[in-house]
Amino acid sequence: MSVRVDETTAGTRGTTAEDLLREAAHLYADDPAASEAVERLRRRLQEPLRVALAGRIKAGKSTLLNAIVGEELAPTDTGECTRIVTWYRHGEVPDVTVRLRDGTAARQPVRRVRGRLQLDTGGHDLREVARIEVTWPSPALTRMTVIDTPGLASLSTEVSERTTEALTPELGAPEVDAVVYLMRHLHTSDAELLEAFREATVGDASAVGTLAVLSRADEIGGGRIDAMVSASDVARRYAHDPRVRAMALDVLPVAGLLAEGAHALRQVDFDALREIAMLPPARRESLLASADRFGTQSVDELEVASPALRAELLARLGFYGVRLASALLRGPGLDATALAKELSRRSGLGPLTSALTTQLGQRAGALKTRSALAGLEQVLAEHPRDEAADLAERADALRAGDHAITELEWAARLRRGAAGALEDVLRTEAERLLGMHGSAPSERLGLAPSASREKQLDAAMAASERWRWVAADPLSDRESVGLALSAVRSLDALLLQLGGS
Amino acid sequence: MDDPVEVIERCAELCRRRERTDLVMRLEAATGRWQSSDVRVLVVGEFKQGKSQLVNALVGAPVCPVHDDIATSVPLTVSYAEQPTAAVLWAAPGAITEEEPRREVVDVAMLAARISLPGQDRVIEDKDGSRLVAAEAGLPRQLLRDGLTLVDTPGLGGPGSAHSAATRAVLPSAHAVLVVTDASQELTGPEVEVIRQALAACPHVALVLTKTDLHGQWRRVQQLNAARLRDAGLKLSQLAVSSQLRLLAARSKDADLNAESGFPELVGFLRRSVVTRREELARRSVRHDLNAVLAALSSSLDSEHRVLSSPEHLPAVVAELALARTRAEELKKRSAKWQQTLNDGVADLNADLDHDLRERIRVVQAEAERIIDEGDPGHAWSEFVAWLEESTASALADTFTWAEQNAEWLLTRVAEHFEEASAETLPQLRLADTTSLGDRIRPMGDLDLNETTLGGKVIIGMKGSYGGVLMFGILTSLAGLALINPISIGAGILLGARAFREDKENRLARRQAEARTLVRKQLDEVVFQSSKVLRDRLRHTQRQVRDHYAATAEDLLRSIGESVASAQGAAKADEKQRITRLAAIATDRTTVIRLRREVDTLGAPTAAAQAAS
Repeated sequence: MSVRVDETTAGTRGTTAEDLLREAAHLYADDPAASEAVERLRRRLQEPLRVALAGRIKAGKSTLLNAIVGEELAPTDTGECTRIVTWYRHGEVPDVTVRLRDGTAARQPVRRVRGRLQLDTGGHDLREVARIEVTWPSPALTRMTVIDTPGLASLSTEVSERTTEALTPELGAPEVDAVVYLMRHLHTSDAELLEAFREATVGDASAVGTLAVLSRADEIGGGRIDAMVSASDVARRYAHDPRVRAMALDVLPVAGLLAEGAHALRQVDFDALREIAMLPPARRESLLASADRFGTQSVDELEVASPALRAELLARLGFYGVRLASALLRGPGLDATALAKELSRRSGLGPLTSALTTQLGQRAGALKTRSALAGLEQVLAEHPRDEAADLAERADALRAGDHAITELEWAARLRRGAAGALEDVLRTEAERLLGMHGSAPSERLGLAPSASREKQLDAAMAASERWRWVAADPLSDRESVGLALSAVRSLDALLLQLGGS
Repeated sequence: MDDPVEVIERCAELCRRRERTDLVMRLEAATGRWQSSDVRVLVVGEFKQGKSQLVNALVGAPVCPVHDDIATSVPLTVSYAEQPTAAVLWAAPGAITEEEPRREVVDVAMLAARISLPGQDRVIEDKDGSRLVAAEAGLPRQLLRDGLTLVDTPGLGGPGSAHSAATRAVLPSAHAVLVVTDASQELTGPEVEVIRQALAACPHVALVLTKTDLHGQWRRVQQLNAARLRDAGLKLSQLAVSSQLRLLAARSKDADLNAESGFPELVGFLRRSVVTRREELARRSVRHDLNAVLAALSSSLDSEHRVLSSPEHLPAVVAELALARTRAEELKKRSAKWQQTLNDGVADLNADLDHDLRERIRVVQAEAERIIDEGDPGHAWSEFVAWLEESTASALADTFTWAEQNAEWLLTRVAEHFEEASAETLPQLRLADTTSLGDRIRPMGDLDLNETTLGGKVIIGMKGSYGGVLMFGILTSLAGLALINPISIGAGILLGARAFREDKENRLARRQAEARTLVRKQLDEVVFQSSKVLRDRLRHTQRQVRDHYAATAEDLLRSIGESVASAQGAAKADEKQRITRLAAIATDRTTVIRLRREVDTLGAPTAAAQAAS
């Protein structure tokens, strides 16, 4: 939807970011370094949204990546695992390429052990490697390129630095469009990293380009059956924490391991889990008292669920997953597929993917355009020409004129407490109108998706009038007026879309 | 180890027989000290690692707040009590004061709720603006009966993370530290740092790996941790436990489950550190007290014996004692050497500390100004404030630790003076021939009275006491102080921040100037308040030390007086009395010798303690 708004507004001026980049390519035709940079930006505009997964070490980034991709691809381990920034993008043929800092690239053989890729640097020193790029045929990757990063607060500071560098380049366009920040609790270093990301990468608008995920959410509640409920409460509270609000769009709880494991549930796993569920309560409880017991104790009644298989289940689903499955299977008639689906649903992955596709995905156009324009301005500044000033001016004008970007920026400013003079009700409404919670008209207006067109029109007219008043009120301060004008403009586009006015 | 209380009791019996009520009182004080000698075990770690649950599982009661979300906000001390009790401590609003926090007794069942910290609030405040600074709980538990005190601390890196410097500051006051990390992942860099600090501050440190019930791969995490610790060159034992299983075991009375929970090993570790700590105290405090008492007894027995066996010695004995009295009186005078050392030392220390404090704060201020100049302070003001708080708190913690170390060194010097003086003061009653000076530093293992002078005994006994117990008692309060200060300073900064935020429209330069002024003001306040606290505390320490030694000098005088009296009494005795009393004295002297032997064995480390160390 926002793309349409984008076209409407930018189209009237007859220029798009694409056009500007084309002109820039023409301008720098004789400068290989600059034209190479411009070419990168143009490719970038064509690509799907780049989403980076970031967080402290062992936050479950690789596990979540596998869950999102829907395949056990990224290597995961109990110890610190990912040490190099790794890109996963769509491609027809599987391919692994190591990109070095000096600009050269080296293809590596694609090796998988029990499904997981064996990634190595091909003999290059870790410090020389800029990143590893994995191309993989996966439907999920057509919608977004996912970037796995080494953990922060890792014992090796160097690894931490690599991630910070990947997310917050000192110069140039931000490498990523959006960030999914994984945290287990809101640790001080989490707040610091989120802040660093906001400051350095996407500037003011990162609060709308970042989603926070309470990963390993099942562990927050100690793996109890109600763990995810508890995790949801925690997530909701974090989402209202001013430090988080300023930096992330939302906070979602996800049990990453369960989400990953539910994908790959086999019939034999199902049989074993049902067998466990059917044990007499006392036996079952004793078996489920600790992970150790579950993975080692021999139980005569269990034929399929041997200790070895149980240990495997534990590793793949986590203790919460096992407990949840055994509780679900005590109820009536679930088959293997239904169980897998239910486990996946309860893992919290669904809301995350839908947030990625709606909240971030719908804004992908705006986010990418903004990145491209920022990058272009950087190139223009670095390679000054006579015509460059004019181009820079137009890029700036395009950025200012592109209402989708304005919306992003206002939404972010709101998150950081802008227009504090306005009532909270109004500020909440403004956030919604600017498309923070989804770009569909009903979502912007805060109506049920089933609301009739008339009802939506009425709501939009009323809101439009309200915000015009705010904009015209002589007592409104400058910030409130700016916000109100943006809201009015969003509403105009919305009315146009609804076919009214 | 023998129970020293029993030895003390037998010693007291002898004193009563000799009608030395002064010594009996002294022994009673020793018993009291022994019984109140608690062992503080600090439970530290990053937040949400299961520290509170660990303490709960240890004592088998939900005293500490345990929640999926909410975190412990203040240190909670759990110790022994006949009846369950609980209290929260409030510090008066405003500046850093030396006042005792206000105690409010609360229901044990309500304690956890009272001290838990929801959301991002940094401090809990009462209606009148007092801040919650600590909490205490007493429980009738076997584990705690021996004086074991568990301190649950707010997690590092969590909400209100300025507390971390406070945690670091109290590390030196702990007798044992449990660093808690959960089995979900290997140790992180900051955690290894905490372990390093704990090991530097305290001899008994263990890493406790929690939540093993939840994480099947905990053994692997344990191996990884061991490797990390090895790489970092840190030596400590790692204990894997599951609080959940322990609580489950307690409910179902399941011994297997309890064994699986790993708690028996943890309790073993705690007991060992308790025993080791007892050992230290026995060596220092009880042994010193008993030796001093026995020396006094011995002295009067000897003078009486000498006069009884040959009354013509009376003038010589009395003359010797008079000389001793003169020396003891010297000790009481203001001009005594030890007094001078103490006074000069405290004055020097005051100046040094002031300089040290200013120097450290100056570094913080320079760094703060650099940060302000580099960017717009309005952007990340709250983060900046958090950083400033942490740096200030950390600087203060360093100063306080430094103060403690220096004060300890000073006290050692005072003690040395006093020991020299008092050694000369006690009458050198020789039973055999003179002994060389070398005997003074002879270890206590040598029991023969013929070879060790009384003075030597006293010196050795005192060394432990004055260098140890006294300093420990006085100085831990010096360190513990830092626990409250950074928090109150934090509150001050926050106030500044609020005023600052309102000024959003201002231009960058003005914002920077204003930020600099705020920082400077705040740090001035910190220096002002902290140096007052330091001075007060040092003065207090000085007073305590002076009173202590003055009282000891008094004791010495009284002992000498008693010896004179018994010598004079002996001279008046007739033949028949002489024989009876000589016999009685012989028995008493044997008892003294036997007691001395027992006191010496009190000091020998037991097998358990050796295994622990």
